[in-house]
Amino acid sequence: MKVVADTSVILDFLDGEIADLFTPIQPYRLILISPVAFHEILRAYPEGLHSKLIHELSDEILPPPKLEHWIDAAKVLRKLYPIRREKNIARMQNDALIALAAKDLGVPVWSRDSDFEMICDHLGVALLNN
Amino acid sequence: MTKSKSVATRMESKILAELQKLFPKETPSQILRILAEERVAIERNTQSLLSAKRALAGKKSDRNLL
Repeated sequence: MKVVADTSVILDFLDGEIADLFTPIQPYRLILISPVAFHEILRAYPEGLHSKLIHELSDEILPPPKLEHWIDAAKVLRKLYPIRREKNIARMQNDALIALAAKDLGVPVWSRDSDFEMICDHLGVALLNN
Repeated sequence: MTKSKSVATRMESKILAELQKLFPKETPSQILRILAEERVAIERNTQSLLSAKRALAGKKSDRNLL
């Protein structure tokens, strides 16, 4: 039972805000990370810690987004955000790519970021927000 | 039940029947292999995430950079 975790979940876990990763999402037991989320995770820590994070998490990282994902992400953003608002569209692009990776695998997204609600709803991807 | 029987063959028929509902196209030995691989992946996944947390040694993320 796999789930694709968003940046918010992994950072909350690494920061100690989520003590137990697996209990809140039972029966899901395998937490995968999109390279897009991993990129954001690395940006949140000093460069000196990057090699450790890469070493420890590399086996859990999904393949990079394909061209089709980028094309679909553009369509999703165009549909959901037809005019630029205060929201950071670049971050929305990352969220769309993470949700598209989950859609490809047929598994839910686990995110504590409310921005995923609209994207997952639009893509028909299940969302866990525990 | 003899020692020469495979693990899949020795599996309780009720459990095997339940598993075959979940994996209708797989043979019993293929089901066992899938479950074993999944168990290993789950264990590795848990350890990877816990090791990553330990490697940070309490250093917090800076989300203003995202």
